[in-house]
Amino acid sequence: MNRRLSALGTITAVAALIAVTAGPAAAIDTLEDYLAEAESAEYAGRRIVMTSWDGDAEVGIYDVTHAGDVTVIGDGQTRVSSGKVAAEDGGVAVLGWSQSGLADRYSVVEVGAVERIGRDASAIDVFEGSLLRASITFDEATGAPLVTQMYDADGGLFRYSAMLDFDDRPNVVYRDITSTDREYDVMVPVADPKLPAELAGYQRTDAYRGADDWMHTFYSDGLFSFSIFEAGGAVTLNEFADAGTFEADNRTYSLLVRPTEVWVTWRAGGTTMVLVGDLPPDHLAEVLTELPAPDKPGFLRRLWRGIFG
Amino acid sequence: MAGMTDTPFDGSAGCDIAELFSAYLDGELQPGELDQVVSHLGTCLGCIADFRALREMRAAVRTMPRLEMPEWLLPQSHHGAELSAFLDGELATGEHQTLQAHLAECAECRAELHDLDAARTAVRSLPRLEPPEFLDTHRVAAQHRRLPRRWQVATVAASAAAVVAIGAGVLRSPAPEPVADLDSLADRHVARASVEAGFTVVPAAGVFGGAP
Repeated sequence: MNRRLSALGTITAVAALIAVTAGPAAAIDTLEDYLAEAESAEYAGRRIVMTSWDGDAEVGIYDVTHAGDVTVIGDGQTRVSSGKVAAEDGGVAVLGWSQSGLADRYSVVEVGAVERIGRDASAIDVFEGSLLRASITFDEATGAPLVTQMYDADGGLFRYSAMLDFDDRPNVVYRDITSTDREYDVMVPVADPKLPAELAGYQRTDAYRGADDWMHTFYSDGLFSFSIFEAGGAVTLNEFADAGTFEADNRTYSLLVRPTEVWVTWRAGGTTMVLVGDLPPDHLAEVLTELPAPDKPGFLRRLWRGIFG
Repeated sequence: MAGMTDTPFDGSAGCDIAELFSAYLDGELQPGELDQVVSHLGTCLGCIADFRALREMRAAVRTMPRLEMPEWLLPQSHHGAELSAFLDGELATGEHQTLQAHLAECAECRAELHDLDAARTAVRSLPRLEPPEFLDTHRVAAQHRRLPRRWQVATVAASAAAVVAIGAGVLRSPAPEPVADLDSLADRHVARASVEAGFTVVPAAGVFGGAP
């Protein structure tokens, strides 16, 4: 199980906040400026990420270097750039994508100037109706996101991400982090995705099929995003051997909570389904209830569980 | 380095060994040829330049977006013959990518691939049985000439019982489920999520047992 470092992305705050459709025009312009700066920022440092879920917390600390459109994680074996992930044993690239805007349910409010880890910064709040859903603090000098806080439906903090130290002049040779001799597994877009175009306010943006026949459908609401993977038949996912459970609308799913995202899997109608994303618990429950329900265990399985647990 | 600067920089023109560069990159050289190429690349600036250009070109080609072939060019294309080699990983890189793209669009080939994979999995899961003596073709041929009819009936009954036993064995031991590589799914999710505006990536170190 000593697998390579897996660059699991999360939109630790800053996800697509462009195209804000609510809030004053001035905030829209400001937010776009923030995002443009964040994408072009050059920095390096350590980031701590924590996800709190049902009373437990998963925490990770990561070395991150960002230059151009490339993010280097850890010792450099994992690199993420636009549409590509390169890891030590190969890479994945998606062919084409469509952009999503911020959902209508969000509005953005500027908080103003603050200070984080000794640096001048600017903060914004993102509201879902009257609910504070996210607070994001951007470094004033570079535009990099310094702190991100995401809240659940009860107003509780469920994900926290912050730079522990910050170097705005990283020693990066851009050529070194962009050149690669890896071959990428190319994910080919699918013209007729089967999953709904909208799930609980999330828009389906793209669907892909890999060589192993997993269907990958991507959803985003501009702030959070998730992927749904489908494979025909029963597929074993060893990482879920000790997983917990997640209940939604009297349905039970296997759940893995990681510092940067959550994983859910279930079997429905002869298909193995896996959902991975950074969405909050209440959104996750709403999304799952709009997807095919988990198969009910057969008589023999219920009997087995009744006897042996 | 002195030897290198003595070599005129005029590309690999005149160097027959340049013909081996492509095979070198494909890992197809014989040991003797491999030594020749490595030795030559240590001294010939022209070949070094050409070799690098070839390598970069191949890398660039690999990352180019795949162009869709017009439908009228492949009206009846069906790749059934290549599916077995695809499952065995025996296709060349170009063929693999072509078939992969075709599978994304062709439900018929996907269904055939699924059936083929399921059949192979089922065959692999069958219990290994030693053939009973009565199924030994040479003996059967000899015994058929002298077995009385009641023994022939018994032989048929035993064969039927063996078939039932094999069937029961398959039912009791279903084919093992394929195991998914969650790392691969994670990479796909990140690859797509990375193009979201303002995307800030953090790794899930230790997600599956690794450590930063």
